[in-house]
Amino acid sequence: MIPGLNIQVKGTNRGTQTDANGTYSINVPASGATLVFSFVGMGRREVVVGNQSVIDVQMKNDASQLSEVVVTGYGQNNRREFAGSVASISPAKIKDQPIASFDQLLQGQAPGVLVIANSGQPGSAASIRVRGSGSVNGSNTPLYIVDGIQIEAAAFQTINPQDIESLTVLKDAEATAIYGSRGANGVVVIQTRRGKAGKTRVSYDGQYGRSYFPKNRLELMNSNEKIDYELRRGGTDLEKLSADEITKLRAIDTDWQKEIFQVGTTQQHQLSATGGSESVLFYVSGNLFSQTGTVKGTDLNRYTGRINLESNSGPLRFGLNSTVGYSIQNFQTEANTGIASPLNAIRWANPYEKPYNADGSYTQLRSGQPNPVRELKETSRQFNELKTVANIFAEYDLSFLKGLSVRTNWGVDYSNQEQQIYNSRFGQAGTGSAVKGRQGRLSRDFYKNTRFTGTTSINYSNTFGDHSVRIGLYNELVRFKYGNFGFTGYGLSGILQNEAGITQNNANQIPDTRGDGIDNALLSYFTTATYGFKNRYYLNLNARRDGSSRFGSAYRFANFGSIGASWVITDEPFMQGLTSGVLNNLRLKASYGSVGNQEGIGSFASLAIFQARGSRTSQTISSYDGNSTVILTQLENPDLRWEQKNTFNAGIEFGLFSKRITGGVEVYNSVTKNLFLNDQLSRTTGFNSINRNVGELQNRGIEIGLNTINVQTGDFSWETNINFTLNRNKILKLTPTTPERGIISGTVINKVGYPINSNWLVEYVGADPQTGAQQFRKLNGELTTTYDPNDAQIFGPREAPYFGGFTNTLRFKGLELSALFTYAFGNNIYNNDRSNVEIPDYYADNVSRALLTEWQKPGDITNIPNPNLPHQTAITHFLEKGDFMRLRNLTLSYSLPSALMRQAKMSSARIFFQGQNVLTFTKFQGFDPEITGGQLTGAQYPALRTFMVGLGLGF
Amino acid sequence: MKRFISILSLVFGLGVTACDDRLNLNPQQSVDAATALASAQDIQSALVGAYGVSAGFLGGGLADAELYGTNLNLLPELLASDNYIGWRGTFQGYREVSSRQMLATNSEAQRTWITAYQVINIANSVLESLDKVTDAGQKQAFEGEAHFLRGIMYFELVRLFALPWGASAGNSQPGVPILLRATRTQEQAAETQARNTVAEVYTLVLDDLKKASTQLPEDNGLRADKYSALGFLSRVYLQQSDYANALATANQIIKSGNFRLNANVTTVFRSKNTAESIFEIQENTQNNPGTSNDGLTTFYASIPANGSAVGRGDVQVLNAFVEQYDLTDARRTALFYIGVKGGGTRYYTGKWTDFGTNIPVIRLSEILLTRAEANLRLGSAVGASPAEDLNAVRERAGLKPIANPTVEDVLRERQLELAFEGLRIHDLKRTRQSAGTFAWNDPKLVLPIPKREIDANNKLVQNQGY
Repeated sequence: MIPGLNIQVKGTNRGTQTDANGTYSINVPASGATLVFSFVGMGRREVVVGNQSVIDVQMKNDASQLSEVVVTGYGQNNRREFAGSVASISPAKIKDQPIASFDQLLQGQAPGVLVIANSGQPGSAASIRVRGSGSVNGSNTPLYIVDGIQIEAAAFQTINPQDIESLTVLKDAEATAIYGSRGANGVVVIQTRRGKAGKTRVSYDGQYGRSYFPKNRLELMNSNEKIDYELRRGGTDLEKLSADEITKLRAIDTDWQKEIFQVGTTQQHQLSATGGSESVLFYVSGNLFSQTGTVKGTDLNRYTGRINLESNSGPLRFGLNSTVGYSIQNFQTEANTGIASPLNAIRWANPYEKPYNADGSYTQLRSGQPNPVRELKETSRQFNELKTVANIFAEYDLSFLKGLSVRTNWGVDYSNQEQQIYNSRFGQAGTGSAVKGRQGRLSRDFYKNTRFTGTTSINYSNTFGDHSVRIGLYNELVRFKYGNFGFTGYGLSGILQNEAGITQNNANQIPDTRGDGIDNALLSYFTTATYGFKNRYYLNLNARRDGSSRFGSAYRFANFGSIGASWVITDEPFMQGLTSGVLNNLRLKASYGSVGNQEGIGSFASLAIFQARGSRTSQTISSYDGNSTVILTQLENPDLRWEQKNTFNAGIEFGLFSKRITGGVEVYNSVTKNLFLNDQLSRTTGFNSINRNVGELQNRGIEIGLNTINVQTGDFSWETNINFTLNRNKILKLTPTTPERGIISGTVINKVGYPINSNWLVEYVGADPQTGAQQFRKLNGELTTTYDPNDAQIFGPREAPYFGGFTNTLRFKGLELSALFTYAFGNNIYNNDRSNVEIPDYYADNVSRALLTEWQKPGDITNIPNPNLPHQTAITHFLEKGDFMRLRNLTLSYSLPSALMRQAKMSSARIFFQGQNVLTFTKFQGFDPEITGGQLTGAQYPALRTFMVGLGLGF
Repeated sequence: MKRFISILSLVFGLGVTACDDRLNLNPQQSVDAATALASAQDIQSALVGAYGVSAGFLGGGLADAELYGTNLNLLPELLASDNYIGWRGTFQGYREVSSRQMLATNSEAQRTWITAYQVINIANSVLESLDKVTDAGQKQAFEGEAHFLRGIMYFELVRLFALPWGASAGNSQPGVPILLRATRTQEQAAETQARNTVAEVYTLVLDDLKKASTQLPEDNGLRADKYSALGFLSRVYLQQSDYANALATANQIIKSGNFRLNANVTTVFRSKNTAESIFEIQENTQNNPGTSNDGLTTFYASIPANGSAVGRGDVQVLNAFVEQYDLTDARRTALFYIGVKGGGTRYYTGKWTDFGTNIPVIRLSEILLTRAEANLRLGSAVGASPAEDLNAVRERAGLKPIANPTVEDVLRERQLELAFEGLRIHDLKRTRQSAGTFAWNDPKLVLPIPKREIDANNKLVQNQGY
């Protein structure tokens, strides 16, 4: 018996699933109906109904992916007929991971999908790149679709991963064609759980665990080292202290990390019920997720509820999927260089200082650096979100023509957010110069996001002998509106530490207000068609016309399309002899097509725009001498148009040795044309740059996925799943004004022939043994101690070109042990965090232990230069390899035997133990090598190391 | 089939709710430039924009840190730091300027360049939109204000980014590119331009400021007026050693009777728009160039406040300079203090002590000293005798008068009176004195043309030594 097996009436969208006992019922048309049974990992069977009223099917464990259903959000395709490139991720594999933002769970699960966690802050989103970055100035973030409607990317803390039924990543032009105007960066399609007919099935899942801070690989000086270092260099406060006082300081050796880190806890409880009859199906769930981070004062509490309802009456299917969530996130700033960020302050605070005086008051650090503990405790940052994602759909089978149906789906992603930042008058941030009156500050900002998606389609699907066709005509509208309002008040000097305590009517403490808004729309008309012949030759065609409000009227609309073909070789008669023993499955597919991108540029990027300027201190709409002002901030750009990504994809899928080995290899070549690029202008024009469609960017790669059943004997099995991706990114064409030199911004360059955002630094070759000056290599190879930015060269890409994951799963009876390793390598990261503690000028604060080996006298051979000479940081000394491999997830679970379950009147029970980020192998000098953007700026909040126990019960 | 078509139209009627009109959206939070400079009110808004402070997005005005908010004061001071001030801060851009070891990528040179040209672009836009102004008086005032903005920006640019006036015969050394039209289209934005000569830039500056001084009203609220233009004009003439015109201009300002010295040397820095002030940048707690990473107070101040400090204390005043003041000089007793930074051993200037107070750019003492110097050099006594003008400044500071002053006396007084106000390197250059070991015309005392500019405009020639 298989609960959750999909059953569909062939050629229609009508379907159901088996209940907990593996039974189902479904209404079929009077004659000629065929039922399609499918289940992920079990393949697919078709049974002609005829006169049967009960159809029992035996599903085979079919590790081949060939028979899987491909969920694209607009309907389901059989994988065999689908020429596009997709990766399906089994929710069962990821749903237990103790992470609030589901995008982080995709790491290492699918070839071609690079997931970098970036932060361990509870609720934070990951950075995801599908087959590399295809845009420089536009967005590189994939599109997220939940039940057919677009949801805000990188804002998932209020979405419950446990409600996910299927997760599919669409990668090439063919697969993303139906999202053409938004699909250039790949599409993550999520379907939430549908009701399952039959006896109502109630499940409880709960887990509890603890999180720990990882090892710090950037070592700083301890008290003795730092005191000796300062005394040797001279010039700091310590000079003035007596020998006695110095001795006392030496006795202090504060571990600042311990002062602000804690053991985090995570718990999650989910209660769900599913059931119904064939005419009404329901799924309801409630979930509570609570996580405290490893930095004090960071946590996430989330409450979500979901109702999915579906009604089937005759030819009409009608349904509603809706979720409401509320999350409260307390957070700390990260990824910045601000001195008041506790995660920076722990680096820079000297170990011979203490957080508290004997009387319990905060200490004032000698160097003037903020006391990390004080800043942590006297500042609170909170982000609340109320989010609802809901859609209704109606589908109608038209009786006069078999296989013809119409469908409309309308939905909204709505969120209301509130962010509060409070700096009390007892912290340095609340008494700093940026705080008017220096008596505390309270900021509150409200945000409202609304995105409607409406899709209406007419579909036809039928089979005529050897020929099968499926055609859909679609119209789609996506409308996005965003607005925010905020204020900052000062002078919280009284008892009330909220809005009521803000000082009013004081010319030196004028509250600031601010507001902004975004408005854009997309309109699309498209068609998709699939033709199949003899169940083994398939042709896919897509054509579409997309309009975006972001462009001027002349270039608003653009056409995109794709063509693909799939050939199931093993179904050829001439292959029959071969397929039995060795080769069970062999399929070839290829596609070529184009999709557009317009995300990431301003809503009114084509217009010349005057803006009311903000003031530097408070970001308010501002004035000069009491007069309101506007300033021209954007040059007109009537020629701005769609960025277009053309992708060629070819793949082979195979199954060998009775499907003990299955897998696939895909190669792709995608070229983004009309690339949005900031064409640098001479600033004598009054403008910096203009966003033009001038470049071309290529991503080429190969993806390998392999699944092997290494051992399968009796009750024991060992399965391995491996995926690997190589992505080569290269700029083919740049703006005509800067072809050979490239576009340089700081330590990053975009240059023809190199990956986007390559590191642009001067090569460092150690300290000059004679003077201790930093030595650099000039372009002609000579060494020099004179730094010249013209000597900068390209040093590697910032985005990892090689990445993937592998999972080993061992099963014995009810026991299962599974280990997921993920890895990424080949990228270089500029370690600004390290640079900050190696700059010798900053030695009044704590510095890197590396400075113990600095140049002191002629003849010293070292990498660390003479601290008294000029010090450059845009050099390769601070560039490090970003390679890492980590044991991302280790799970040991035990499912209780069903005999026992029956006695307990339960359908299932499972207990598990799991570890997240158990081991990390890297040489990167920081807390965590998972960093996006190629630079570790500072204040890093690393991924959590979490250990959980959990329980799943089914009734 | 008929039925099919009707269902099809029903379905698409539902979906295609409104056709392409759905994509016609207009910005709500900003103004399309096509309609932005259509009335006198709009033009005034844009003009005021040229004074303001911006953050977060492109664009800045006179009050911003790139211009008078910080750099047009601080860079001329740091370039002449010898025996005067010491840079104690961590910002690499300023450190390079202070040590005269600037790289072509110097961040301060870069941001001052772009912002000055943004103001010039606003001025040019206003000049091109004047036909929208119907009131003749208002039109003339706007025109004068635009010429003022453009004139002073070119003056600041040519002084910082080019070898000084007089460095070559005929001043044919490269100045900065002159743009006299607004950039409105992509084609205009793509045009690049070579550097004009220093002589050409000065000609433009004089032309703009002369126009401004006749077109601007006597009183223009708290923005530039006729006397602001005359004040800058006197600076330009002085920089060219055109003492006769410097004298005439300075005399015109003083003779107007609109300005008088405050009784106290601190008043002009503590209060707003005092009687002494001729051109002043308006600031308040909401509009200022910065309180933690930018702004004169941020860099110059180091005052204890609530357990921390006002200012970063980055610009230390060297003891040697403080000691040049007489012990009883009010400018020593009231305008220096020992800062928090440096453990109570360093002097800091008391001129910039509050983030929200105004920044006087031109004040009467300067104009008095200009008239005194010019009269001395010309052997005249137009308006007043050199001694009268010099002693007015000295006596206000509580010093004894000098009966028969020399040019050196006036120049010395100028250094003491106008210290930390952004005049020092320019005065050294025009009087051909060295800044430490750097001769007045040393290329090391000239900022680099930003590398980013050279990259984007291959017609630009880099300054010597970069």
